[in-house]
Amino acid sequence: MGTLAAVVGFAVLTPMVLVLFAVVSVTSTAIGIGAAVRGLTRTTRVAHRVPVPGKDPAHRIYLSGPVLRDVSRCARAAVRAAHSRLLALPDQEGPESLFARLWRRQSIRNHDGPLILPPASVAGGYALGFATVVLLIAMATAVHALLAGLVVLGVRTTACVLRRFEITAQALRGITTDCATCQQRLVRPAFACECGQIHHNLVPGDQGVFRRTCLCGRRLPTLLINGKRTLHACCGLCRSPLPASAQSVPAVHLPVVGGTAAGKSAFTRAALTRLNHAYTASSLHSILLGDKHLRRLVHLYDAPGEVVERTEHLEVAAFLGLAGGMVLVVDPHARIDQKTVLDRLVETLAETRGTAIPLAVVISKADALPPACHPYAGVAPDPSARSMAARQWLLDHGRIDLLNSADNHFTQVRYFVVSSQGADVPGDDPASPVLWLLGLPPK
Amino acid sequence: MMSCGPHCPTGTTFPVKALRRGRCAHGRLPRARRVCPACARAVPREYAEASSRAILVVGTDQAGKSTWLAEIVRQLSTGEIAHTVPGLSVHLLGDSSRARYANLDAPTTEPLLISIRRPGAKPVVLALYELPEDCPPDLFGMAAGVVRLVDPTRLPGVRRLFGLEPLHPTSPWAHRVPVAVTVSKLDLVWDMFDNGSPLRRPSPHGRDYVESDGLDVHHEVEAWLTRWGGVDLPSGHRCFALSALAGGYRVADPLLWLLTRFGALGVARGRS
Repeated sequence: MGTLAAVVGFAVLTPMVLVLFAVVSVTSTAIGIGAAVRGLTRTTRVAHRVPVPGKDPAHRIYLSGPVLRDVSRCARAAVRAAHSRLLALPDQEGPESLFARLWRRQSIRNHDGPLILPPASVAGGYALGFATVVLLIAMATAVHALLAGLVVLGVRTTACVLRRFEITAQALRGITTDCATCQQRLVRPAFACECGQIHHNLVPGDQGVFRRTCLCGRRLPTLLINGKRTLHACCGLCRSPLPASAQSVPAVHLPVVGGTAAGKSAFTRAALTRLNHAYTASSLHSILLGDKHLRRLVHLYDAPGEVVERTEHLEVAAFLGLAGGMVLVVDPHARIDQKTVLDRLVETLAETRGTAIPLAVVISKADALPPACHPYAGVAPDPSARSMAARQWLLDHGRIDLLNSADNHFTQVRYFVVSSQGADVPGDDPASPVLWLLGLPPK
Repeated sequence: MMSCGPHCPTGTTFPVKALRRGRCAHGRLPRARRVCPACARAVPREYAEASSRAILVVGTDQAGKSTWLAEIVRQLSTGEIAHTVPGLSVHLLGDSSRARYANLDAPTTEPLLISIRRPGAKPVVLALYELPEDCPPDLFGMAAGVVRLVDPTRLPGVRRLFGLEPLHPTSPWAHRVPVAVTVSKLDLVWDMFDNGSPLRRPSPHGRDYVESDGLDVHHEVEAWLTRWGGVDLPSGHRCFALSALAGGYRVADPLLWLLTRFGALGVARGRS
């Protein structure tokens, strides 16, 4: 009898347990998926719009990286939600899981009546359901991460390509960013938002591909072709404003050097006047020269004679390191040794950028010479013939040391005679040395 | 070593290798000139990076070392020598060399750094050391060439001629660097040479050093030194004679010969 009851019991209970196991598994999987989906939708917003130390004051774009962090957070939240809904043991704070509730009811029945269901099979069903949910979450996360990764890669690659394109285009056009105030070459200009925040690195990147959003909410273009050239550029070091054409026109720095009272300022004034630019009592003059095919932003430095005559001043005269050409003003009446001036200049250039630049030697105050002694007396008004005549004049007046030193150090040397006393005195156009150094035709 | 610029708050020195995009470690522009790590004095970049050569100018007291140095640098820097070697230019390297040249009579072991350039040739940097005749022999090991100035009035033969007392003979030399044995004060013994002597004709002009003229002078001066006695001629020497007074006469010949030995100046075999 006992054996029969055991056989019947086994025959009836086993299918019941199996069916119950399957039902529990399917149910728990469905509940887990539901919990996971709700967990996904309940995820708190990722705070990626915060300023990062060392970065510009702009929001980071979501698709450049934060999306991957959110994928990871979603997966973890889904697993936690499924676990707490299905398997978590009774907790005072959190809601009770299905397994915990069933287990508690089973435990009560064990005290009151006979054992109906084996708790182990219920536990196995829930565990299997939880494993199924985790597997599904893992698969969904993998697909999600792959898609998000592709998007992030695409965004970053696009930003990198656009950034390189702009840098290469600027380099090919010979456009550099130089601050004439602090006399330093910059990597790129800084831009001030209307809110006053300075963006030092306004290029395509993880803060924006075509545009970026300043922390104040304003949208700023990151590319020159996208409108960046209309923004107000400034030097990132000294905050002085850069000329509007600094980003679109190659800059050339031309120091006008010479001994004290050699006539540098008079030459600079005459050259600027001839180039239709107002002269101000400043040691730096920035002018835009040339037509649209050959336009140059010229920074003329009217360097005081004391700078050239004192080595300790010369070695901190950073504009020499940027020089793309040089104007050496020679006063034929001066007592100072022009060769020593040139030696100091050459020495400083050799320390910084080398002497591979053209040199325009300008003989000033030639109007004070007797007409018969003028370098251009009886010389045809041809630039080359005049340059040779001026050179010969210096040679005749014992300046072979100056001539040879200039010829041996600089790539090209041309000689000019400039008078500031009007057109009736023979001489070159004051603008011609500047135009020659720039490779522009004389006026 | 380089030193931080005036805009850098620290103002320290740092190795050139620490330079990043032309800035010091504090992101500021450094001073242009390099400095010696030991004494923090400026070292011209051309001297530090070019193949500089040390030339010792030795001689007894009053042999005319300072006068020759002053005259050779004057001729080089004012371009007078460029009439002999077309296109040659020279400049004194560094403020210390310029100060040294301005006061050559001051006793110092400071070298005179000069850079010599010619069209189409690499620059040559020379460090001219003025040393006494009895300088330590180990100094010759670092020298690329020696200009030994011989005062003719100290030689026994000349002193006999002038009726002066003989002097103690100098110790012989033994070193392997090229030595330009140069008789200075040529104007004092000018009348000893007949009109056909190569010493009576000025240095030839030309782009290169004229070897035939140099050999003529060498044989002539060597014969006179042998006759006068008192000079122990070392191996690898070349004899010269010059006068640094009254605008100078054949002043540049020893230096030009040394430049040919360094390969910095071409040699013309024929007579110009």
